[in-house]
Amino acid sequence: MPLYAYFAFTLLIELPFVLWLLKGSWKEKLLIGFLLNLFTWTLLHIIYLNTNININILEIGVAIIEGLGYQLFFKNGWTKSMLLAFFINGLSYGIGLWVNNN
Amino acid sequence: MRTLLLALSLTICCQIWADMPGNKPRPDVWIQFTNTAHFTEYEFYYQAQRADNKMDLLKDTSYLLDGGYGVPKGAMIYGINKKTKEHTDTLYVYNQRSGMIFHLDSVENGKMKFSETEIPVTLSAEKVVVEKKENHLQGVNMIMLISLTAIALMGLIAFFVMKKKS
Repeated sequence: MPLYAYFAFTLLIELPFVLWLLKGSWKEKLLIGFLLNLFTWTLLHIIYLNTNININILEIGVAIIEGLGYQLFFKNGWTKSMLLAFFINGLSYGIGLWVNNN
Repeated sequence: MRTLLLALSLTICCQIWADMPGNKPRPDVWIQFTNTAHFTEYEFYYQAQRADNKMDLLKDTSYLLDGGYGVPKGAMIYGINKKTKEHTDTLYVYNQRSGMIFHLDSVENGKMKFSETEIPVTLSAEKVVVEKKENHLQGVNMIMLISLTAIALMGLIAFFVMKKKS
């Protein structure tokens, strides 16, 4: 499976939750969700491929950046934004691990 | 207008960045060791650069040297005498765009002597292709990833600024 297919699957898993759980116009949620995921996904790969930092730590960083982004753009509250970011990133990471190990 | 200028300046920066010399990707190459098992009184170790500082017992087999960017990546090889615990000298091997076979001829007074043979590029390349199919992270276009990161960040900044204004 090509690398960028993983990004498409990440979006398929995460964007529905962003659309469903955050307040705001669906166009904004779709655009910001896409851009935030594109930013964190590529950044994670750059760091992962060039350093020895543990992937779990990088995933936590990704969730924090996305949570920060959702709060900055939609102001749904820090707790909700962070919980959402950690939940959807944990879910996509977990599914990714499961797919790769089966 | 200011947003447009910001986006334009960032795009120009990315364009300049893309033309910077000395950072071209280098292909992965194979290096192979032979005849080390013949020297039973020694244990040989192999440590690749950026491999968690982990040392592996050297075997008579092939090792993949990462290509990467910029400074060539490498590995170091040395032996330890099982009885005296004395270390041999160290062989440093760097990615030089072609594979190598290192045949250990002798170890005298703690000095290893290797005969070096270049592996034909085609043979080296075939093995790398096989390796790349096994790992989806091999051969990722780093410039593409950096560009996408910059584009996404630019988009987020532009959208944030527009939202602040409205």
